[in-house]
Amino acid sequence: MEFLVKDRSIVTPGMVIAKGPFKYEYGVDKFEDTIISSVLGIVYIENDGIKVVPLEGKYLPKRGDDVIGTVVGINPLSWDLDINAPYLGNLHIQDALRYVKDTSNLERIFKVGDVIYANIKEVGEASEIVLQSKERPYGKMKWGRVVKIHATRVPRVIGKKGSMIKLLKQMTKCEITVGQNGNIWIKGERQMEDIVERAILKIDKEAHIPGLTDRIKKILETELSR
Amino acid sequence: MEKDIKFFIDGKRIDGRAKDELRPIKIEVGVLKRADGSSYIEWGGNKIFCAVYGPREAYPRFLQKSDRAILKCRYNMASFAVEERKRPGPSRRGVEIGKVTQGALEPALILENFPKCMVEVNIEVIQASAGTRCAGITAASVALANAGIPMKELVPACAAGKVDDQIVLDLCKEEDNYGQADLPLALLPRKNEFSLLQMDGDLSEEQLEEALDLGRKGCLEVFEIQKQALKKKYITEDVLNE
Amino acid sequence: MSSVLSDIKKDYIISLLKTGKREDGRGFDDTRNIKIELGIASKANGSCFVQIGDTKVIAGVQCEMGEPFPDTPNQGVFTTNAELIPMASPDFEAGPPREDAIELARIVDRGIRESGAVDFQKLVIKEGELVRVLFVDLHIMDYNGNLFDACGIAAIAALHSTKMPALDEEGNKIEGEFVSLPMKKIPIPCTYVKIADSILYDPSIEEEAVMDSRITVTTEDSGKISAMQKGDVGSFKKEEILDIVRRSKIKGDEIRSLLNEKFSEMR
Repeated sequence: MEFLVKDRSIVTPGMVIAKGPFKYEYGVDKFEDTIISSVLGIVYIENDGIKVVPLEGKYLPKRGDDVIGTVVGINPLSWDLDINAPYLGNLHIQDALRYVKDTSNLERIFKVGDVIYANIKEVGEASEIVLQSKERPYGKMKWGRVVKIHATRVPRVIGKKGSMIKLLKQMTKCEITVGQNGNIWIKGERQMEDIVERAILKIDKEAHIPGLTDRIKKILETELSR
Repeated sequence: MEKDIKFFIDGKRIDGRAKDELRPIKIEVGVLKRADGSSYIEWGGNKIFCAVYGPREAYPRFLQKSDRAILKCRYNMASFAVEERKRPGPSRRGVEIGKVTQGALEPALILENFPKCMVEVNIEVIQASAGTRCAGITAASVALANAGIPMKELVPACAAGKVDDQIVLDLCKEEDNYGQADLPLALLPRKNEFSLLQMDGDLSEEQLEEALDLGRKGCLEVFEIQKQALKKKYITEDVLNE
Repeated sequence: MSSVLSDIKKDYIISLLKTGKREDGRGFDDTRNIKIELGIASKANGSCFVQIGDTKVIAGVQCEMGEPFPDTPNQGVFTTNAELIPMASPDFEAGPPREDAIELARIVDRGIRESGAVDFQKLVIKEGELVRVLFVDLHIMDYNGNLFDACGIAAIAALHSTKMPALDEEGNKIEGEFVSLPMKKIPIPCTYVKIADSILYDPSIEEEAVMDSRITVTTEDSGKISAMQKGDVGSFKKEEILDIVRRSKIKGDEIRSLLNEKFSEMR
């Protein structure tokens, strides 16, 4: 067993990370007894497991994820949502609202351009993404703004046990809803929204650099004291 | 077409290079905002942009494959990329290069994760000076990595050729126009197989073997430049990491 | 996948404008960062790369020789072509130029032609028989709003930097000798959009998605207007048009001095 790259270093696709019987997760490929990166990303080596977190790329939908999407198309009984994934998400009228009186004109419920907070009910074998927005807090989002970041860096916006998001909310008094797909909705005082937006974009850029929480805290403190 | 031209002066080539020397290559990553991945390459007198879009749902729908994404490659030359103005729009040459580019890149990609999707590669040549297809493939592979497309490995490309009965690496314009043979290659470095191979001119079996070996060596040098370019995009962050 | 702008973003842009602010923090008459690079494509007779914000275009000029049009036997031929290549946006498709590309090329063409920026009569080699034929090709690399200004600036800058092969009296090329184009003026297009009664210079792609109407005004060195085009749907009041023209002159002068700097660096 041997490692050919350092923990948390940048790897390019095709680079050999390790030789030997390691457990491997996302972003790697196995070829005989070597483990190879299959994306441009950061290597994480934990115990006997290896994964590469991609630096770039689209959101890969998982069942159970909460996502924020924009309506881009209306079908006879459903809506198409852009959720930053390779595929459009599909929200069926039956999964959209608890009570539906009139299904004759879907545009009266959600129209193109509406922003919807939804949950992924299922990802089909052919990658169909089935969404639902029946229960609170799912549904149409109003006002505020949506910041788009890399889906792979969402865990850093949330932080360990939600520490980062808690920090952002407490210090700025903004409502923040995080979509696993990298869309983050913020609503609060305009200047506070600006501060949260800048902080989130900084997290997106520096997600893999240690000491992130401290850096963000410092920035928030400086900005808020202005 | 052969012309009475002196290809070697004191053992050096027309542009001063050794037989096994590449022209200068510079690659930049993530140069276009709208694209999902992009790159810019300067290779000798070539200037080429590459943009990748996808994976996204393939259209027209009949192109969709139920078990994987398809790869579409478009190669286009700007009207002003060459001295004699090229008519805008697709040319037969461009269509063929698009096709061999797809053939060179696809074996390195892992497209099974994205059924019914397409990944689009757009190569735009802004200034052409021999070897645009190899430079285009090299740039495209980097742009695909920048788009986060999973792949088995990067694909470097480089041509070998023959001038004055000698095998040389990476033909320049004069060598390309008036030389005896041109052999553009793309390499899958880990698999150690060629995924682009075209040839025109005349080569003996021995010369072909020599050219393949030299071409492979050139591709491996290009491969290092590709990796460095990708890392450089994030390196400031990596340094902070140390 | 289509690029639908969300309603939240639209509402945000409009509500900010009502407090006198633009989404990216610019003033109403501020341009985004401009970068101009002459001679980017050295195989062409003239070329220019222009970046406005994240919008990137390249103009190339090529000179050939041919017959003049029968109705203008004493003038050179001038053609502008634009391609919205799929590289520039997920919404652009390959194929022959469509409406948008043709409108774009024609606006740029008119701004240059009508201002008399090029002395076309000096492009005649043999009247009625042989003239210089100029092609301006616009290549859009990255579309993030306001293509008109980016293309107009790139085209005029490329023309000013153009070196044509010198000709002897018979009209044969003199090997290795080049001459500049007979340039007289620097017309600059300035594009404004109207959103909720605010009039904004150099629209971003988001602002273009929200705009009620758009107008491009091309002015030249003396302050004269040489071309105008109200684009897309929507309308403008007379006072708004006159206001935009006044503002276009100021912005046009700013960009002209930027270009003049570049031209003197080149010389």
